[in-house]
Amino acid sequence: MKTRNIAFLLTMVIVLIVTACGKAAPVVEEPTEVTPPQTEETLWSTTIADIRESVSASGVKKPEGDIKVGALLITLANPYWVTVQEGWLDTAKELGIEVDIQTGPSEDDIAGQLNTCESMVAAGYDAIVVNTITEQNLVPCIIKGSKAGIPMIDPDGRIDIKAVEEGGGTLYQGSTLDYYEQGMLGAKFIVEKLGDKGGKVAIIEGMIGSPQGEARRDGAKDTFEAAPNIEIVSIQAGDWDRRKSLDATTNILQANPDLAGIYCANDVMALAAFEAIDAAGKAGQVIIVGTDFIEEAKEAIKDGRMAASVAFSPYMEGMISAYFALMAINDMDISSTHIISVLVSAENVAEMEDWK
Amino acid sequence: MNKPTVNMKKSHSNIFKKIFLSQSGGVFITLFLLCAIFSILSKPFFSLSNLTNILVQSSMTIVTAVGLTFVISMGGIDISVGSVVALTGVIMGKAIQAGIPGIPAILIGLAAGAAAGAVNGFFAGKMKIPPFIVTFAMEGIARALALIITASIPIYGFPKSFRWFGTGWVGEIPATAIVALVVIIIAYFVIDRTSFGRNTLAIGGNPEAARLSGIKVNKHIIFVYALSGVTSAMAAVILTARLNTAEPIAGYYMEMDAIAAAVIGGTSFSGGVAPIIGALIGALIITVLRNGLTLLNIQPYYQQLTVGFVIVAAVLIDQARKQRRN
Repeated sequence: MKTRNIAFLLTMVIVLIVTACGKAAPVVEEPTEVTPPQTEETLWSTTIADIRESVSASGVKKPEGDIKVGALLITLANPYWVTVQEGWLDTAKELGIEVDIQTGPSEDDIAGQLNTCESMVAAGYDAIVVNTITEQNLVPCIIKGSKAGIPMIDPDGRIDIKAVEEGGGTLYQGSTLDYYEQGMLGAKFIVEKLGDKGGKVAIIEGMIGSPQGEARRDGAKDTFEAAPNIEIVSIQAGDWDRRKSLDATTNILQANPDLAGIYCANDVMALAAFEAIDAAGKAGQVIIVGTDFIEEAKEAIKDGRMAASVAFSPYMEGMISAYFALMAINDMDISSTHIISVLVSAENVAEMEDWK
Repeated sequence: MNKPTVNMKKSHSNIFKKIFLSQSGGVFITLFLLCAIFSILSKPFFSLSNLTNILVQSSMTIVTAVGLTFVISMGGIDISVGSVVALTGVIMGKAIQAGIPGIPAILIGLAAGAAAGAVNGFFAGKMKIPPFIVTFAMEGIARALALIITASIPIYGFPKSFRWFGTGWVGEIPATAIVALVVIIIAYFVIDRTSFGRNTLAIGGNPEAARLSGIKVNKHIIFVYALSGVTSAMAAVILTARLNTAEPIAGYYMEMDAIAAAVIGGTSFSGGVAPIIGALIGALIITVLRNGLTLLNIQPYYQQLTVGFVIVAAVLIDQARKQRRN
């Protein structure tokens, strides 16, 4: 009996300690002020300035009193989403609103994300912004939230709005991130570089079943197929994983020693593809393009290991999500805002130093 | 143990004493304390809509925890739950697409779950392959089949009769809670009152002795794993009905919650014990934890940490109880 009691007591104490310490505190440095640069204008600074301008031009106002919004991201186990959180927190502070940032238990757990969303609806926020894992998995929660009078916002535009409306709900839907377009941009770069000669290309996609990965793959695939003289020799799953991508690329090279280009659905896999190509002594023969434009990719583009990567800004994603929350509270239309994806290659990588 | 008395008043206090001193008394107190703490710290926790949330959210964990309780108490393990959820969900989706009405489609899904489970049981029992490896393989195979069957495109749009199991109501009570309750009642009855239940525990306690006492061990193992497959399929019905979509990527890590709930509830990996009520409370504890921590806006990693600690605490208690038994 004694051990049991101690164990229960321990559990309760731990829960209380966690509750006291674990309140979502940003694990980022003090928010930096993004001031307009005095000397040179980079793509980053001009885009941020444009966004700020259009938001203030829209006339959105922060209502009286304390505003508290909820943000449901996909995961925080990924540097991309950590930067989204950074953009969210900076912008929320700027706007004077409070934001609680949550995620589901894991980035593949669709039921878990739905459960977290429903719990957030019960918490009583002034608005909830969600980044959904699939088109369908948050629909019941959107319906619940909008029926409870909470503006529900989908900044990426991926949620099945028809299903929401069929269920009697309403959704403020933006169209910020276009994963298909990212695949298109990456493949287009390869097609243009190969020119009339054309050649054999391959695609390393993400985890099978992952909607983002599949959209990128399809964007690249369709672009390659539409191009004359381009032959897709292989589409393999790299599972967003370095080792798997390394193995897949090695196998593709074995079967196609004259491979001319490879598009990878993220940079981690692209960097691994380079290792495989380099190990086969074919560095420089294959045009390697990734997606995400992570730090490592930036360096790789500068020193020539990678030819290009597709950059979009997780910081802006967070920033725009915060603006969307305020706009939805003002019952304004958010459907026309689009976050740009930029193809970064050796030609323009110098301008992308401050991109995040 | 008090002898049952005729006096009504005395039998009332007997019931409370029984709960308190029972196997699941400890976890019940944990659940009660958690709810009390969250009610105090978070105003929305105790609202009708949030409590209803908890009932709906816990239903999948409850039914799969029951399946796991049977399997673990028999001395096995089943980590294919999540993938079987995805596969059976997708099979039901295909059935609906083929024009089969809701209820028959559900039966097809349950049958598919039973079949997957029976395959697990065959290899774990007759072929004597360690259950972890068997269900690990099934986890990969079922997931792959789900993705192949659908070409990873989710199947959207289920008939009302189907959707009732995820979004329906009986008065103020969600249908999912009723499904979970029915499963609990049946499982409790089976474990407590039937030879099937007794044989399950006997195999878990000592497989050789069970075989020598006349139990058809290999056949029984197939049945119990098939049962776990059926509970996975039931969870698939609930999830698919809630989402109105069969997703091939559904169910990831569902086996973890199911195992955690069973373990918190007192199921021992050395077999021989199947606390069904404990599994119910274990599932509620996990759901209440996640729900309460989200309402309090606790960072997701701390949520995971807490769930982990609670599992460790539950295992410690299990150890202490085992030591006292020996």
